[in-house]
This record gives sequence, structure tokens and C-alpha cells, in this order.
Amino acid sequence: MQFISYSFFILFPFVVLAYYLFPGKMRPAWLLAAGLFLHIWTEPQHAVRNLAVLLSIGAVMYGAGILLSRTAENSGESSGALPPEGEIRRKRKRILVCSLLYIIGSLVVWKYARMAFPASRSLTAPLGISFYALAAAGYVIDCYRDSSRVEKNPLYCFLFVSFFPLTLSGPIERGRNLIPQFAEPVPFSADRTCEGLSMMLWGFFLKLVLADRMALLVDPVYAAPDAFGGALVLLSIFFYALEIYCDFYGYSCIARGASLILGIRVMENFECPYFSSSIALFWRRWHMSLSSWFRDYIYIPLGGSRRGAAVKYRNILIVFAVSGLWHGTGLTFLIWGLLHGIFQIVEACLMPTRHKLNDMSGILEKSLSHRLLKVIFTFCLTAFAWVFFRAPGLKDVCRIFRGLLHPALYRLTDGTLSGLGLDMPNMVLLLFGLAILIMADSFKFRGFCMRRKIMSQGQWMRWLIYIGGVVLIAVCGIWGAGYSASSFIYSQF
Amino acid sequence: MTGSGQDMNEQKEIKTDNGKTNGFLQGKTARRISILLFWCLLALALFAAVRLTERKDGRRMHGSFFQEAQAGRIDVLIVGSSHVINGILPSKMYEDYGIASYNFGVRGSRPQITYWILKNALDYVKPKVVLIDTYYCTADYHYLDVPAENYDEEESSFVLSYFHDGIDPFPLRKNKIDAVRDLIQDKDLRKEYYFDFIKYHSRWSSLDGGDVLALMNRGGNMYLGADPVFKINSLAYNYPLLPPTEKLTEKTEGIIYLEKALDLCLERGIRPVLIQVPYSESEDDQRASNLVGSIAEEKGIPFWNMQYVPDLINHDSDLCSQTHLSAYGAWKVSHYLGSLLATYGMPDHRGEPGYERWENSVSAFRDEVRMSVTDQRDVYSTLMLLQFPEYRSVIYVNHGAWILNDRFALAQLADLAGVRRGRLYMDSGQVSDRQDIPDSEWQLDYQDSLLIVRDGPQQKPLAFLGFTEGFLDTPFLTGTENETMLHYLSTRNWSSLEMEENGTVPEEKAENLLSYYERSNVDVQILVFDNETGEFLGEVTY
Repeated sequence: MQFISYSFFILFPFVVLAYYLFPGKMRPAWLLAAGLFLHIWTEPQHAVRNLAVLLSIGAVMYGAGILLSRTAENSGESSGALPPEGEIRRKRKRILVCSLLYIIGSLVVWKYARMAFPASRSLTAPLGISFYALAAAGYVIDCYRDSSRVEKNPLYCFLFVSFFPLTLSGPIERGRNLIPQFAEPVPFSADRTCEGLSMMLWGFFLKLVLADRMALLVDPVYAAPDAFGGALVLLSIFFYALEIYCDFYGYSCIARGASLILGIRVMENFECPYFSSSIALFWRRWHMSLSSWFRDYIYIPLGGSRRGAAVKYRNILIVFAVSGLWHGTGLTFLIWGLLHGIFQIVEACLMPTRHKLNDMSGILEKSLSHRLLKVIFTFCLTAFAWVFFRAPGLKDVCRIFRGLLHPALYRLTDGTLSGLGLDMPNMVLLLFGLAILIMADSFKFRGFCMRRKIMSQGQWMRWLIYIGGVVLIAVCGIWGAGYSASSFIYSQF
Repeated sequence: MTGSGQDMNEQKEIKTDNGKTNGFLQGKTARRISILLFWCLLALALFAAVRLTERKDGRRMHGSFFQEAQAGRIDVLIVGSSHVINGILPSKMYEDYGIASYNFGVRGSRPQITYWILKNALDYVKPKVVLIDTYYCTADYHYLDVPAENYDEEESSFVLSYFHDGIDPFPLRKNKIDAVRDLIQDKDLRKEYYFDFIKYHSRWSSLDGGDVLALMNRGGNMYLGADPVFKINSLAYNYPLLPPTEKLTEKTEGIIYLEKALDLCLERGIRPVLIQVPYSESEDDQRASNLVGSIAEEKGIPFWNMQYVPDLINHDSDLCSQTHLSAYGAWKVSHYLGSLLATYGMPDHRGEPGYERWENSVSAFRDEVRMSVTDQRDVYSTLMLLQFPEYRSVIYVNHGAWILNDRFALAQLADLAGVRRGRLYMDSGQVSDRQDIPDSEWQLDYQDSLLIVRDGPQQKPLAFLGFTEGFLDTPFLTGTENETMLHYLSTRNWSSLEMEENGTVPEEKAENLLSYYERSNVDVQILVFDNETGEFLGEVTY
């Protein structure tokens, strides 16, 4: 369900309360029931379809795991890194292929095939399918590789695909991480709850105070760049890069925090991506659950970087093309993905030359100035690529870039920003918030968790920060009347 | 990142640098108290944020209602639109008759809103009489958020805002929820009315000192919900007056809700009275009012339609805009209403303890008039305020002045001069189109000068026009036929409008308020005095 909704604030505490009131053995069942209920609640008009797809994928995932484990038992082989040969191997492969055909096929059909038929274009894809389908596929592949224990209890498999904090927008978890946690629920912990709540607080701050505030400028400019002039278009391009980060990172924080309150530790999804000094590094820090999924289940099976440069570059292009298509059905998403692939290829190709040039000119690559330059350059590249991601179509991309040609600097001070809702107090708040984000990320980059630092402070300071944070989000957050419904960007995927 | 099978029962304690836990207070009970305290502080902070950001209009107007209602001090409740807000003064009804009334008008209120405001208000008060304004009874729609014929989106957005003004001061109770559910179709929009923080939190960027003060203040204006207008905002166009027999043929939603309001009062044993505050009423509004009159007659409910009360107000001079009374018009109307209510056996609370708010409102009104009478930028507003009996005045209009060609100003001057109510004809011969108003006795040639001397409410004003007999014989004028000006008036000797004993007037410029040389380009000169003490309050020129 949407985190930014009244029902979440009412239902989530109830779910948590009931979870800890139930005995340990009943808790996974309660989570499953809650997850399915919330799935229905979020989109009641498509409830039957959504549940059918979700449960069928869960069933296929469970069934595939059981069948794979039975073939392994029958073979008498112990689990190892290499699959068994001969008939067993072929059988296991058939199970894998069929289950993946169904799981990934469902994803492809619901996301892409419907676009081929005009009558079905108005249909939306089942809620969260892009995320739980990949999670289910990853589990099946892990079972096939014997890198994950097969789960015999169907309850945990269904819970894995329907775990409500993660359903809509991830992180795309691994079965071997989540399922054992479902099987062994932990008792209530005030400290863990506090940590979870502080994560959620940070997430709501990123989403409601920063991301949605930047959207006040980005949305109208992207809709009509010609009307705003180059200065505002450029500002919107950079704002969007920050907006999507705050939005998605914010969602992930809320999801992780909610999970932590329930005693479930979910993987980190972002690791200061805009502090990256190259596109390759960026993708090791951005949407890590997805990029690691692509790495483990597409890039490495294709050969990774072990078969020479040409194969490596081919694999990069394939992975990022798929990534682009996973994000959306339009050509712009494909271009966006390919751009990132091309950037990495160019980076890799030019690396020896860059090193040589730096050596010749005496530039210290590890110096702060040089790293800062690379970080800024990488940020600009990603911001440029995000234009393709955000614009509705190629024509709109051209309009955006064409809009840059006419600076219209006066638009920054003629009241246009104010008219969009970004008056002086809002701009100051936004810049202040971004400064806090940069500070938090720079701490994180150096290995310090600001959240934990706060939690280790005295009670009065912690309370001041938490209460101040809640009030700030409630008062200054972009929600309610006058603003469009705050749905997370990545939930549309 | 991928997690492991680590023992999730392991509690990860947050440690400070010295290795000691710095979490919550030690011990379960202390910890629970600490958690409880945290949530209480959080709730308090959020409550303060809600109060800080909410729009104060409703609370500013009606914050005092709840105190007075719960103390049982309100005998007459007034509900309706801005017509009653501007047009009915509880202070005047109290001053003249001791009637303790409260004005719970809401700007832009349609009868649909008025009904629910009344119903919510009756949760707190049981008055003896309710005065129900009938303005906007032409509103023929149910849901405020659904555009309809003659109800476009723009109007809808205004009305929704007015609904906030009226309903926000009420705490969230059953009647408030019922009101919102009845008048708002969109379920998301309803939430804004249940919890107005949803709408108003975005006001944080435009908060001012008033918002901060409101945290400490319960609110409430000094006029018990009324908002008299001490200046003229625009001039009114007068529609022809239709006979009472000309009325709408079908009931509108507005009229249906008026009926519901009447039924509500009768159920509760409260005496309802329908009222129509006088204003420049369009023909459609008049037809709707006339239908309301028929319905009231059928039900045996009084309908005090003040449009038809002769000599109550002057439509040309007692309105501050097309549809609202000025402070003076409201003063007169309130006195009239008070006289009608007095026949209902309303108790006289003057001098009683507990009614300080009404006493203060009387003083506040007087003070405001006093402050405003010499502080207006336009002549219309000043002329309106000069009507109050607390002031004496000398008004001189120079020949050729533009206001001698202005219908509205001439009407005001006619009132001030004590001319029988009616329009002043200009030499172009404009004819009054209100058949119930008799012809004016006085005609002006706009080339003439005009002098009006108001020497207190007990005396008939002196008025001299042009070079009529006595014009140049006043002690205040000198000059020739071509250069006639108010020459001299000394405050030092001034206690009433009389000559000095020796029949002369001082010539010293220091004492000469109206030096010809400094004011030759002035169109209008007005001197204002306190009627009781004779104190000179100020000079206003235009």
C-alpha cells in the first residue's frame, strides 16, 4: 500500500500491534494476511486480478523450489556450486525454465504485451509485479544453484512475495535473507522499533519535504519547457535527479524502517550514489537491490567481465537495456538504460588514457579536488540521462534540451518560482533540506551512520530531533489540499 | 547487503563512546513513562502546529461564541451571510435594548451552510430567538463541491472556502461530520473539513504575528461576530423594487434548507424569525425573497423583510457596496431589529455582571467610529460616519466640486442636510426609479457651493446652497459670489456653532483653520466636533 496515505498511518500501527500480540508461530500468517489485505485495499477495483497474479507467482515459486529440492534429493547429490549432470540436470533446468517462463513471462505480458493491443493499453499492470516477480525469480534461480535453502513451508514463500513494506517498490530482496527471518520472528524490541521509526522519519522527510517540493518545479517544466526558459529547465533537470533520489531513497527508508519495526532486516538500497566518481560506481550504489539482481542473474550468467572486453561491453549493454525496459515500456526508458551502458563502456575504454594523462600532468587522482570534479561530472551525466527517464517521449526530450538554448535567466527572479509554490521560504527550506541530505550522505560515505549517531545522543537531543522532524514533515511536507496525490515515482514501475 | 542467518534475537544496543548504553531510561517502568512522555510531547507539538497554521478567520470571528454560549448568555442568535455580519450589530441591540445577541454570520454563506452552522451552534446554545438571514436563497444546488447550473467551479471554490470559515471553529462532533457529509460529495475533500490541518498546514510559509498570538488566544472579535464596515467600498446600483406578489414559482435548494432551519428551531422550542437585511436587491433575489415570505406566512413564522420598511435606510447612502450595509446603515437596522425583538420580551441585560463583552462591544464601536471619522481617504466614508449622532460637523462643498455631480455623495449630503430622504436631482434631470421614494425637495445646481452645519442631533441642520438667502450671512463665510470659502473658525473659542459675542471673527492665521490661501484648491472641507463636549476632533479635506 501507499506509504503516503491516511490508511497506512492507521493500519500500520494496528498491524504491528497485532503482530507482537500474536504468538510467534502465528506471526508469519498474520503478516501474510495483512499483506494480502493491504494488497486488496490499495487497488480494490483490481483486487481479484492482483491477488491472482501475486499468489500464482508465489505458488510457482514455491512449487519450483519443492521440485528442485526433490530432484536434488533423488540425485543423492549434496548441494554444491555446480549443478548435477545428465537427466537430473536437464530436469532441473526444465523446472527452472518453466517457472521462470511463468514468472518473468507474467511480468513481460502484463507490462509489455498489453501495450501491443490498443484495447488493453488502459489496463495497469498488477500492483508491484515488477518487484515481486524479480524477487520470486531470484529465489528460484538461487534454489536451482543451490545457493539458497529451499523453503518447504508455502506460507513463507507467499509471504516473501507479499510482504507489504516491499511489495510496491522494493527493495528486491533475496529469499535467503528474508525467509529465515520470517521463520524465526524476533521478540519486540524498543530500540529496534525506535531505529525503525527513525528510518521511516528520514524517509518521509526525503519524500514529503524534499522530493515532492522539487516536483513542484519539475512537473510543470517537463510538461511545458518552452514556457519556462533555459534557466528553469536546467534547474529542473538537476532537481529531477535529486527528486528521484529523494523519492526512491525515501521509499526504501520507509520500507526498511517498517520492516525493522516488525523485526525484519531488509537490505540497503542506496549508498550515497551521487557521491560516485564514475557511472560504474554509481550503479553499485543506486538501487542496489535491482542492480545486484541484474548482476547476479543476467550479467554473470552471460559471462560478466570474464570473457574479454567485447563480451563485457555487450553484457553491460544487454543488462542496461533490460534495466531500461524494466523501468518502463517507452523508447525513452530504453535509451536511458543504453545511455548508462554506453557511459560505462566509454569510461572503461578511456580509463587507461585518463590515467596516463593524469600521470603526465601530475594530477593526483586521489586528491579531493580531482575526486570532486569526477563526482560533479558523474552527477551531470546521470542528470542528463534522467531527462530521458522523466520525459514522456522523445519529442519531449528534444523540447527539454531545446529549452536550454534560451537561458531566460530573469525567470529565476520574476516570480515564476513563487507562482509554482517555490516562494522564498519554500526555497530556503528546500536548500536547507538538501544540505542536510548532503551532510548525511557524506557521513555515510565515510562510514558514519547519522541515524545511529543521533540515537547515541542524550535523550533530550534525540527527542528534540524526532519531535522536530515529525512537526517539520507534518507542517512543511507537500501533502494534502492543493497538492496532487503523493505517490512514489518507482511505484509506477 | 544480502543478509545472513544471523541470530535476529540479538538486540543491537546503541552505545555511546564510553561503552555505556545511552538508550531509554533504565528499568521497565521508567522506560514506559519515558515513552509515554515522548508521545505526549509529540502530541503537544503537533497540536501547537495545528493551531499555529490553521486559518484564523473563523476562530477570529467566532471564538467568543463558545464561551458566551456555554455561560448561557446568548438570548438571540443571528445566522446567515455577510449581510448579517455587516448589517446587524449586537452592540447596538444591547446598547439600546439590553438584548444579548450573537452574530454567527458566515461570509458567503448559502442557506445550505447556514442550516448546518445553526445546527452545530445549537449544540452549545439554546437562544430564545434565532434570526435567520434569507440571502442567497436562490442557491439551487446541494453539494458545494459539485458545479451545477449557475454554479461554476470558481464560485464553488469560494463557497468551499466560506464553508471552512463557518465550520472550522466547531470541534469535530457528530453535527460537524453530518454537515460535511451532507454538503461535500468528495470523500477526500471531506477529510479537510474534519481535520483542517490537511488544508492549512501549507500556510507555514505565510505565518505572521497574528498566527502566533492565536496560540494563546481563544479568539473572537470585539463585535460578537459582527463586522461593521466603517468605509464605503463601492457604490450601489439600485434595482427597481418588485411587488411582494412577484415571486419564484419553485423552491430552490436554498429555500428548502431555510425550511429545514425553521423546523429545527421549532423542534427545539426556539422561536425562529426570517430576516432580509436591506441592500440593493436584484430582481431574481427579490422574487426568491417574496417566495420565502409566502412560505413564512404559511408556516406562521415572522419574516422581517426590511427592504420594504419605509424610511429605514437610504439605499443611496447607507450601503457600503452593492449588497452590504455601511456601519451607519447597520446601526440603524440594528436599532430597528432591537425594537422588534423587544416586543418578544427579551430581557434587558444592561448593567448586569457577566455581560462585559457586550458592554465592551458598545465602547469598541464608538471608539472605532471616532478613530475613523477623520481618517478616511474618501469623502463617501467620511460623510457616512458623520451621520452618527456623536458628532457635529461643518461641511463645505466648493462650487464646481466633482461631488456635486455625484449621485451617491449628493444622497449622503441630502441626509446630512436633513432633506427628506430621496434622491437629489441634478440639473440633467435624472429621475428616481424607485416609486416608493417621494421626490426630493431639494434640487442642486452643481455650480453652487454647499454649506451644511450639523449642530448636534437635537438641532435641525443648517443647509445653505449657493447664493440663497442667508448663505453669505453665516459667520463662517466670507468672500464674493465668485470666491466663496469658509473663512474662519477658531477652535479656541469653539464650543458650539455660534458667533463670538462681539460679532467678529479673529483674523489671526494661526487660529484660522481654513486659510483661503492654503485651501483654495480644496473641493470639500469638513470639520468634525464631539457632540457632547464640543471638542474639535479634526479637519478633513478632499
